Amino acid sequence: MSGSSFFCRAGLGLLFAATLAVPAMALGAGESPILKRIAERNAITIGHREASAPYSFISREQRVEGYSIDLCMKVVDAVKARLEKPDLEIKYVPINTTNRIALVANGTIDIECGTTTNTLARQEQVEFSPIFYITGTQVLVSAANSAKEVEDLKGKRVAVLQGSSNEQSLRALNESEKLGIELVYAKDLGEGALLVASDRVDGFAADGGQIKVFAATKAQPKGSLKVIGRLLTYDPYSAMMQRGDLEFSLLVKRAYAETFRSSEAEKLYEKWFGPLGIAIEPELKTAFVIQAIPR
Amino acid sequence: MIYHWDWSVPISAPYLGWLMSGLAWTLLVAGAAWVLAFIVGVGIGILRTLPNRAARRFGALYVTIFRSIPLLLQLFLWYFVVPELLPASAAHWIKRDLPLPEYWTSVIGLGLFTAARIAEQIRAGIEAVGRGQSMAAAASGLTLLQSYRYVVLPVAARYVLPPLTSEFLNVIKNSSLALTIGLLELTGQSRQIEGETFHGIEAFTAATLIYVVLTLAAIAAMRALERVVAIPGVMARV
Repeated sequence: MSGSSFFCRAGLGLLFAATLAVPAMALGAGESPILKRIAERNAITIGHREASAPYSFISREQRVEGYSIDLCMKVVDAVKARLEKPDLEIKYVPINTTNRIALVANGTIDIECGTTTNTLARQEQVEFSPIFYITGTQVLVSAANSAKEVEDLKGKRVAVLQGSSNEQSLRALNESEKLGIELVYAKDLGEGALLVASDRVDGFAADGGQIKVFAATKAQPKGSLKVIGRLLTYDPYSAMMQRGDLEFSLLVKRAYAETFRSSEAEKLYEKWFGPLGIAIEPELKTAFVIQAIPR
Repeated sequence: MIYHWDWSVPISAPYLGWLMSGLAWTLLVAGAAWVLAFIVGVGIGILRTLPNRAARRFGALYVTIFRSIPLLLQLFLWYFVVPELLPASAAHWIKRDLPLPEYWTSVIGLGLFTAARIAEQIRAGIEAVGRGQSMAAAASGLTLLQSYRYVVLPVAARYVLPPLTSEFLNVIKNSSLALTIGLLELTGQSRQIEGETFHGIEAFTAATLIYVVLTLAAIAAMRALERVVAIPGVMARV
């Protein structure tokens, strides 16, 4: 009796060990609702921004491109391998700051690859990928402006993107420091910069990275705009996905960790920001290292 | 759909206050734009029916221009382009010294756009009165001004009330475009709440309900007006 029970246990143990070994190599959709629906549609849907160059934008050739998009492609590759569907179709859905949360929440979009700041309040609604870009609120002003910090714009008119984290921080600063800055609401980056260029406002508070890119590439005439001030906020960018799907979230984390580890992420940064003359910042480099979680 | 519903968002502080301030701006923009649209629209509509050819041409030109350009584009033109075409001092005044530039730009843009539509309805109303009426007025010795004042316009005004109701609702709803030039009216404020809380669906639902209540109230008011001013025997009324 005791002998057979020993073999029984040994057999169970072996079986157990075998099942333990499997998850790392798991294939197929498993219990993941997102992977299941991707497999069902045979397509993965990416939410992208239309004019947030070089992060996520539509190029002159009408292709969806950018740094955020390239990183998301690593996730797409991982999904293809996981579902064993090398010819998985990629669908693109344009999003904006108003509809992005709803489209992610209702499952229209499988992963959002734009310029969304990862915040705890937002994590109540959506799941975020690891952080792939770090910036903070700074102010775009005309080159002739002598202001050095946002406080120097006391009592002036400053544009902000409606619904952005920059707007919230500037509003808070305005109240706490009694700056009396009049906020003017802009719809997108181009419009905010136009407000500065046409002298309707004295400054435009937005994500430092984005306005630096704008000042470097789109200012007319060249050099007529500059970015000033310390980082008023800490804005880490992450990709958004539906909340509550641990398995898909793990797949995304894995794809990003591999990209960070292999220095592929740094190369992608160089590809998109190098031509603009913007070198990678030490904080972001450190973030890549820290988030390259071991296998 | 995986979404944490929180219907308390639109009715809790400070967000309820934001919605109410948005509602106030919507009413202020729509109200002022309506007054402007009505005055200009009635004027242009009458011009289009006058015997004077130059007056008719001018009315037609106005309607063609303002009706052919999308409202969104018109707002951008008024806000970004028009000041650049003015002399520097006037441009500076508009951009910096004019109080509430976004508000007044929205009122002018929305008002002049709606005026073109009202003008067409006024013209249709006047033409519906029929040439017989104005000929009879002329035959009884009334001048052109008198025939418009005492015969044509009183009847035409009643004809155009139903379509004007639609136009009134359009002004209320089109005022949401003012958010694109930075005015935080009702839609703008609900976007603001969405940005702050990520509870956009609740905020937009609240805004939708407010718009519905607003338009239903406008419809009821216009219907009441129609009843009050109705002339028995006109417009199939007995």
